[in-house]
Amino acid sequence: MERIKQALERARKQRDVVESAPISSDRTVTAPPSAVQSVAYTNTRVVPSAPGLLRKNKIIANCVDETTITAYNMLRTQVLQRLSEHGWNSLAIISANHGEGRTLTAINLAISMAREVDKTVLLVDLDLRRPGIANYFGFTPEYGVVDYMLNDIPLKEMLFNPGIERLVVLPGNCAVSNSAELLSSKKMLQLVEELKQRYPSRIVIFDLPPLLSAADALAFAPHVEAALLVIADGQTTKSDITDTLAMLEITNVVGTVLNRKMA
Amino acid sequence: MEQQKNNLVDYLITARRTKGMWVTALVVIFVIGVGVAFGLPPVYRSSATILIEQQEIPQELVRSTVTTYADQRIQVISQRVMTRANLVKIIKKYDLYIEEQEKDPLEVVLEEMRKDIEMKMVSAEVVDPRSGRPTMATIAFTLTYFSESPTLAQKVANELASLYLNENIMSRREQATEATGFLTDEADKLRDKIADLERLLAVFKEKNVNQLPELTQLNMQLLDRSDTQLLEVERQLRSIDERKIYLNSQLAQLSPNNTQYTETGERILSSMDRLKSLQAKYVSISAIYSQDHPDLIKLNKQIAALEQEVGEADDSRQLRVKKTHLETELALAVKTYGEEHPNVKKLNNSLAKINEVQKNVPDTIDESVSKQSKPDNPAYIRMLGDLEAADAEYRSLLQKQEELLAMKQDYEARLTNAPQVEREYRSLSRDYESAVMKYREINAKQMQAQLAEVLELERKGERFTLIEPPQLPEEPVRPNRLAVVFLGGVFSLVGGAGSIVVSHSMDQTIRGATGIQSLLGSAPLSVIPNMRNDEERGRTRRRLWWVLLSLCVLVCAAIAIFHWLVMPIDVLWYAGLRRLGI
Repeated sequence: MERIKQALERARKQRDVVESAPISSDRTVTAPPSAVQSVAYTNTRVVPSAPGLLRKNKIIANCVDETTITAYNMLRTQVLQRLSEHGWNSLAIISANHGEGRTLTAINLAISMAREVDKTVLLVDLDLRRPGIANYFGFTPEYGVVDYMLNDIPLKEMLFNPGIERLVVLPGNCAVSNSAELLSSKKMLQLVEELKQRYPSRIVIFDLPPLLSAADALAFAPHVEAALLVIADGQTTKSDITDTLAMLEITNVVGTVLNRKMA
Repeated sequence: MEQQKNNLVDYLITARRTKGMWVTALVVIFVIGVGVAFGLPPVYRSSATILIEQQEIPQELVRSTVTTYADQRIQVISQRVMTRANLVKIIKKYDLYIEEQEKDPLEVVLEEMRKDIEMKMVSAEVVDPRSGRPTMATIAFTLTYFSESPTLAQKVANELASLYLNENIMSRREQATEATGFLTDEADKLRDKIADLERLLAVFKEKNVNQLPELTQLNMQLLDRSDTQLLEVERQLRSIDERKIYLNSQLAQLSPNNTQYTETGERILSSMDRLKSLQAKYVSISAIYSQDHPDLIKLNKQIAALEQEVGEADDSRQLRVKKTHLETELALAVKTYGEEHPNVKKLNNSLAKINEVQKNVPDTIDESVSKQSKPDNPAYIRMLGDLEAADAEYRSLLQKQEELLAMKQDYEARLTNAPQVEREYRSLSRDYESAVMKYREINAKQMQAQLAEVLELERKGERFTLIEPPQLPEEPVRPNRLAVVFLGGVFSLVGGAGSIVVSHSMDQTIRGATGIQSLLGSAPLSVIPNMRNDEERGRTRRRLWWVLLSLCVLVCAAIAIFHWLVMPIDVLWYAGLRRLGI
């Protein structure tokens, strides 16, 4: 209980921050990012998203729905606590099936984390079969993770900031068939290591494909330190959950999140 | 409480998720209910009330031979009325169950008809006059027939009522007639038996006419009298005996013949006397002279003549004479020659022979004397007459005694046999009497039964009266369409709720934080509410409008199709109102 209270407290503070800071940034959506913001983003493209689009895509960046934000903040707080407990800084967002809100959860969790001033967040779209994070921000990337893996396109060409401070996105841009092999390749391991160690106090969030529909997530699982299971209320079956958890036996599942809770 | 609320919320969530399903179930069931309510054919009922009337003449005066209880009899009549033949007749007469007859065997149709016939007893609490306790008595019964047509309901109910009435009369008559017939038969049998017994009794009496128990006294008297008579006869016999002895002695003293005298007063000897004297003379002379002596020859001749006269030429006399001769000779020879002389022996032998012969020839000297001699002594004759009279009397008395003895034996035999005869007689007469008694009894009963039969024949006994003939029903009794509609509504609700419950229980998806808690043992880190953007909200609203609109269109189309293809709406409306009974 104590922890929840603390979390709530923190969330409230965070909200204050959210309400003051992003609104100002909204106003300067078209303005070029100022040099004061962060040295880390000097070579990262800033692609601000239209607020209407974010709202439509249910991204909490400029959302005013308090309960939703609180829910994400609670999730963020607990996840961060668990990661810092073990000194981890990478997290895979997984789900049993498609359409359970995995990608949205990853985005919103990343935004929520990025709002903490001492954290920077890198969101990596590893759903190589159906990459979708960039679309959520209304951005069509020229290159994606696959290009880095196959064509050695430098990462800086593809990283972008969706107009939210301390959040960088590594998008995917096209679907590939041998995604599982790519994900389990040595290069991918190197990429992950690099992403994790490039900056201290950075959290890397991987959006993985559904666990039960393809071998991708399972192949990639050993590369991450922790995983968060997204469960859709009234949609994910009990057997799917137990199957998924059984597959992820060797991975540290920090917890579950119940998504789309009906009123 | 919390748990229940959660359950309810869960159900509501499921309901929202599966609204298509349960709404369909609800609507379909309700539509079916309404269809059934208005589709069920109307059923009319028509009832006849039949009163069970007590017999008019008091039971004490005429007792009916039909003694079963009214309700029992009604049941029996029911069984008789509900026979296949009766029902088939009614079905044929009114063309009932035409559709059923086409698809079902006759047995099923009959069963259907039996179901449509209802018989109900009407009971009332009455005080039993005998025990004084209140009991339930059947005073009437109702006969009901259910039909889809009001007129048929009335007609068939009428038919059934008349069947019941007729069957009752018939069965009562039958019963009464049967009782009378039985009693008549019994009486006839008894009469025959009595006649048999009477004949037997008569034969018996005839056979034992003198030994009948009622004659015992008389027989005793008769025996007594015969005893007395016997004594009397014995006494008489004794006195006659005495008299005979006396008479004999008297007679012995009298000579049968009168002593005849010549003119000289010399007595004339009778031939017998002369014979005797001659024989004596012969004996004395033969001792002196030889046989050839002329005197002897003369004597012999005289004797022979006399003997002829007397008529005593029979053997015994000759034998006697010969014997006298031989004895005389023997005495002489013994004196002359001694015992051992051959002559003596020879004479002894001859004498023995004669003795032997004489033994065989009866000595009839006395009778021959009395017979042969013609007595002429009046005293002797009178005496003889007396004696003969006494003899005759004696003989008659003897005969009488014999008769009396025989009679006495007869009487004694009668008295000895009497107990045996009595026993047989008693048993016979007992049988007879009991038969007669029974006959009287049966006869009385028969009379009663005949009276009861008349009672039944003239319908004065307990009877069924149709007090309320079946009426033409105006309103159907079934189905209660409002109730069926209501029931359809209830069922549709239940069906809808059931479908929700079923889909909830079949639901394998995870529900809420508690679901995760219970599945994994730990709560989710966070619960993110379902976010809806403006577009989604708008879509939902639009969909709702579309659904409503299409529903309206559908309903209108359905009504229109019904109106033009099946029947005009206003007609349906009034028909519906009528069926609802408004």
